[in-house]
Amino acid sequence: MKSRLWVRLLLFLVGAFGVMAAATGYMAARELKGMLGEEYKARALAIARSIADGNSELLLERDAASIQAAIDQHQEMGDISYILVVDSGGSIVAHTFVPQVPEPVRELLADKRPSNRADIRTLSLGEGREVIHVVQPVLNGRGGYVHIGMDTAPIHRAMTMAIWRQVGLTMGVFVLCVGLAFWFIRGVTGRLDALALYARRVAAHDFSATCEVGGEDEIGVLAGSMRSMAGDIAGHVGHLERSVAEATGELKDALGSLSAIIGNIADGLLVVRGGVILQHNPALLRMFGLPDADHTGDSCAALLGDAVCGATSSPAGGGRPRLVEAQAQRADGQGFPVEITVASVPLTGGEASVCILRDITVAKQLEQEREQSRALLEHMVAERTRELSRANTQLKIEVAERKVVGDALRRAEAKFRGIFENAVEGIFQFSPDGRYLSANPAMAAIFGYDSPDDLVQAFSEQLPYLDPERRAAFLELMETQGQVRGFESQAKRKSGRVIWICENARKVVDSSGKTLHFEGFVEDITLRKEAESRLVHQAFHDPLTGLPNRLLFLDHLRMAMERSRRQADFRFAVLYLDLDRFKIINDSLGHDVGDRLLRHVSDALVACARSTDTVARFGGDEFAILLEDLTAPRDAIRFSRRVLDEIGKPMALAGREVATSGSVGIVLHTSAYDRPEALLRDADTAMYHAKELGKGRFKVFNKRMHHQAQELMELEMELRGAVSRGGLTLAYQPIVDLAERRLTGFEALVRWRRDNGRDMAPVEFIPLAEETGLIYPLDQWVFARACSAAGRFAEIASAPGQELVVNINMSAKHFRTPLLVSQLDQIMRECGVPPSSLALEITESVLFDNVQSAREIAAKLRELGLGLCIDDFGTGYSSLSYIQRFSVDAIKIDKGFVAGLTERGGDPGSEAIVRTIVTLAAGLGLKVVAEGVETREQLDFLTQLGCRYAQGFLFARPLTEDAALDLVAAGAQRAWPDFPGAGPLHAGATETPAGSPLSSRDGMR
Amino acid sequence: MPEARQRNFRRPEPSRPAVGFVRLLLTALLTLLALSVSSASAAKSRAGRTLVFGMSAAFSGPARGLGVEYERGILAAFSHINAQGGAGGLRLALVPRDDGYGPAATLGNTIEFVERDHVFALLGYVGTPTTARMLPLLKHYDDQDVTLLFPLTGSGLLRDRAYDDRVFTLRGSYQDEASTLVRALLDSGRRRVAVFYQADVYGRDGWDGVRHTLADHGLPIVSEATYRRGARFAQSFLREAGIILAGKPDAVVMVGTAPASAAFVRDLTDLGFRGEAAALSFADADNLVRYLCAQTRVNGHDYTSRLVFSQVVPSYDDERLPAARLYRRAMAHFSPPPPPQLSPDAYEPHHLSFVGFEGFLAGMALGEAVKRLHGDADRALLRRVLSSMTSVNLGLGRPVNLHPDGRLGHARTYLAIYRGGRFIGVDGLKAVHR
Repeated sequence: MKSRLWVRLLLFLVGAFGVMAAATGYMAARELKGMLGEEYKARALAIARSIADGNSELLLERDAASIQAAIDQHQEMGDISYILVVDSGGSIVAHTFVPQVPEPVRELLADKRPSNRADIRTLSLGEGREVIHVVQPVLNGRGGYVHIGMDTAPIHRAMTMAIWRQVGLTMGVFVLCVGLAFWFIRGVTGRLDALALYARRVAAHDFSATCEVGGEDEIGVLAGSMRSMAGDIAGHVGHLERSVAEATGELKDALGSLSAIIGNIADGLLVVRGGVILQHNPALLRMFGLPDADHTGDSCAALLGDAVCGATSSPAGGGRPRLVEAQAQRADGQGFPVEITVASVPLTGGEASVCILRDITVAKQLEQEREQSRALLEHMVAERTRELSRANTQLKIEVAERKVVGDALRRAEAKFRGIFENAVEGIFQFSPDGRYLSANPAMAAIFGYDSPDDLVQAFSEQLPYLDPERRAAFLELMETQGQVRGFESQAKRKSGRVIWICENARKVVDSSGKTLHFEGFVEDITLRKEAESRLVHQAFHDPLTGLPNRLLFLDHLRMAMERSRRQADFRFAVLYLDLDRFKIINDSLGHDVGDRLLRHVSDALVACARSTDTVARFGGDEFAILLEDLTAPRDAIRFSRRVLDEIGKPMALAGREVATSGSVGIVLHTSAYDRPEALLRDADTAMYHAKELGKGRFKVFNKRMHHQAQELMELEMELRGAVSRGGLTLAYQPIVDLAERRLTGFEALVRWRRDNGRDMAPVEFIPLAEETGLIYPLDQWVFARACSAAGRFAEIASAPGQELVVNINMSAKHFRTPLLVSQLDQIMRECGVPPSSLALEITESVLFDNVQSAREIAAKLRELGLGLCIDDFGTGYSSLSYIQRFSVDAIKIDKGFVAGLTERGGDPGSEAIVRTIVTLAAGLGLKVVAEGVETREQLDFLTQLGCRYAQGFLFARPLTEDAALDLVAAGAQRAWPDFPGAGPLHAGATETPAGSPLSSRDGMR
Repeated sequence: MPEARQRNFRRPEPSRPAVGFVRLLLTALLTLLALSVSSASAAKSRAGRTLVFGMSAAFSGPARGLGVEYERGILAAFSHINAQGGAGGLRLALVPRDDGYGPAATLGNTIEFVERDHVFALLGYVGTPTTARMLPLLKHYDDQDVTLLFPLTGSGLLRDRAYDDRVFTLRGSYQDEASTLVRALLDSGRRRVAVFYQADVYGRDGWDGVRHTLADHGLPIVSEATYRRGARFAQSFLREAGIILAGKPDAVVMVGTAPASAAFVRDLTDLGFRGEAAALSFADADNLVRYLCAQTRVNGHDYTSRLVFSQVVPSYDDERLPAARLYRRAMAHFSPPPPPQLSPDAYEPHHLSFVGFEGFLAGMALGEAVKRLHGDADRALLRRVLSSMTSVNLGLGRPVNLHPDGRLGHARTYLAIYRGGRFIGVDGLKAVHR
């Protein structure tokens, strides 16, 4: 009812308001359209008129520009789509169309109807545009026409807006009304409905319902009355119904229960009065085996037997029931014990006995059986109890055992957990598919994670191996060998640092042989790896400059040679570089500066070289460079030039500018070599040649050098043989005392006749000996030989004051060896020669290398008693006073100065030098020996200068030992035979001793 | 007064701060120099005073080429005159204001010039619609004798007698230019002439000139199309070109600005048009050719060989003319910077141009007029002097009449074509395009 009313009302409202909205909307739109249309037309007309009237003069003049200016200003007023002005002839004077006048407007212009009145029409311009077109004649068409178009779009827009406004308003009112109606209807019908429902329920005797309707109005009052009425009725009806129900119930209960008891009790019921059965139940008949029939009124004794009847029929006085037992008999004659309860009850017909009979046969039997069962049960319980207590004991033992095993397990677990947790090595487990299962803290620490969980988490996303293939290799190894030993790989730590790790792992299988997981250890071997690589680097590199050393260089060279053998167009060159003044710099400025210089040079070399080249340091100041893949030999030359330029640049070291230079030997034709060592040797040779050319040069190794080198080597071999086998001889050049005109000693000169018979001058082979180290045995041999000769001389000339001294040349190189003094001492002892008969000749340069040690050695030699003579004095830079500090006792004037004394025209320099030397030496107490005296003039000169001693061809050439002995034997030590220019001062000198030395001199020639 | 002007110059320019600032500084310095000289001695001596002229023109937007070039010409003349000690002791200075080729802005600028800047006269306005809009103001300021000098427009409106004494022009009218062009086209055998023009006073003026000249020969305009003012070169004119080509023209007269005309020529040529395309002086031949040359560089088409220009000044390349020689020398010696604060759009000025030459002539004509003031800076006197200048020699080969009766300063139009990278003055088209 409610909904129907509501829908009907709603439908009505919708209909009504819909019609209203449509109607008003339509009306409003129509009205607005008409109004706006009119208004627009009026505006268009007004503008057209204003243009026409305001510019009629211009129009008459047909001044297009002015008209355009005028219409432009009008158009800017808005609303106007276009303005077009035509003259009276219909041709366009000005317009505002862009880009051209549309066709509809042009058609309109063609329609030349002379009109006095404005014409208004609606024009479609195409593309949906519609305009109100106004044609306004100017001066009744004489001045032309003004056409104006106003877009109708604003009108349409306004119309649409109006309709929507109207509809919106109507809909608003509609919604409001519906809302109000809903509220009102809800107020009335709702309450009525509730009241009706209430009434219906009261009518149906449902008094439980309540009525909520309230209010002051009629409905409220009605509801109130109904509520009180219903209350009263409910009270009455309720009371009545309750009373009846109670009485009936009680009765029914009593009756029901009684008949149920009688019918259902298992015992027999018998009501007897005066031997007549008044009532019985079916159980009684069943008990006595009687057919089911109604025996009411039958005789008790006839039916049940006298015994029973008797027991029932004699009730005692008083109401108390009595219990008797009797032996009854069934209808089939079988007897059975019966228990009878007899009660006397007064009934409406008189006193009656109510008996209850119970067959107690079964009860008696049951009693017997129960007794037996209990005995059996008790027996079984006792049995079971024993079993349980046994089981209990067993269990207790088992529990105790388990506890012991559990404790042991826990201890083991704790032990291995401890190992796992505290191991230094990383321990891990991972599944066969490479996923980490667990790791210990040490492993986390190795990889830089805070905890093993972090590590497992991180590794499940990204394995740490630097090379992603490593894990696959690992797993493959594991697959094939079942274990992995010493698996080294590079891994990334959490921080991104790359470390070396070593893994050992094995497969863990279950009892069926299925792989469970892999477990293993990981070790951080970064330090070891670094140490290894450092060791490798150290083994092959020079620690000072970091350049490859000889070993590595040879390796590279070998590879280059192999490559050139395989590859015909592969060229390479080997360069050998030696610094020219390194030793001086190192000694004078210290090793620190020397090291820095070496580093500088190595930097320069590396800078000049390409990355494919090898720059190596062979130790000292020697460098080797391997230039590979050269396109032409000139590349190596160019490289050498650049290197020498670079090295030659002065550099600042230890606060001073140091300039050095290098000498480079180059081997270009490298294909001819089999052994890298030979190649290097030739580069070295070429370098020595370069050095000979001067400083800062380079030299390419060539055939000639090769021959020279070979020759030198042969020479060396031969010299070595000569030294060891005694192929050397000594010659003795007499030294003459000019003042006393007698022999004072000899200079021992070494002579070498080669196997090919050629005599070698000492100048030729002494440097070689020095270079090869042969100088030591050579000098010793000379010394020993001279020693023994000195002994022989002394034997012959033993007169006091006439001792002969043998001067022995000692190499500067040899002089520097600390062992020299002891060696010489020993030789002298063996020969038994007094040291005073021997003197060592050394060059000035000896005294400048390592001054301190030179001084010490000189002093020791002097202590031994040996004489010390400076050879070739004047060619060096030493001064006498400086030499004096070295305990020298004699000097030898170089033969160059002596020769200069009597050169053609004379050499005043030589004279001055000799004079100075002689004078100064005299002042310092040094003996002065002039060498190379060949002419009388020289002799005179020297004598005049006061030079005391001399040697030279003028007196004698170097003599064989025998000749020398002859000379001594002839008494030359007393007076020199045939002293040149012997004047009256030495009359004795004219005596010519036997065995003239001249002959031996001639022999020497 | 100087302070007010400086404020005007310091209008900030947001887009090109560095260059802008330098230029601003330069301009400000020059002006300051001129002003300080003038203000220092103004009280005591008439010599050294500065006359300030207000110029409203398009320094931004598509038409900015005209404004910039015209201003450069005027400034070149000013600097030439000032370098010689000024005109009759009076130095000349220019205050530019940008109107972007919009009439409303021109109106506002003019009011600012008169009421705030108190300029001596208005000089060198550019554009027909803009100038046409401000003309009534001249009447309004009649009591102050405000004069508009040498606007860059050939509109017939300015030649209205009602503005005698208030407006002095130096150039020929659009009608003259249009008729010169049409006659030259007809002489060279063209019969079907179309018009492409700007939908405003300027366009109508040119259109009218074409129509009249054709009508004199009994010919109609075969087709016409308009475009809206402010078009840019990037805009498509294919529709307009289609409308024009519908009339099957053998020549098109364009009454428009440089970018619009250039874009139209581009689209017309692309649609296959091979006739002459003639443009008025206001189309700024130099910039029009620059647009088309840029397009040629893009696609290799030839756009310039069929162009014809009418000019109100002879070619600045003509060494025979003393004015051209002077212009070239002035530009070589002094290259006035463009008014930076007014040019938010990038624009690379031409060293020499027709519009610049016209501006130079305007500046020189003004200099001659100011010289005749004899140091008396009086606006009314200026009007009288200008009116009396019926025969001024500007070095154009014949005297120029500035008197309003003469209507046009030098009502002569010239034809030019573009060949081999330069403009060549021609007398007719017959020999050229056959």
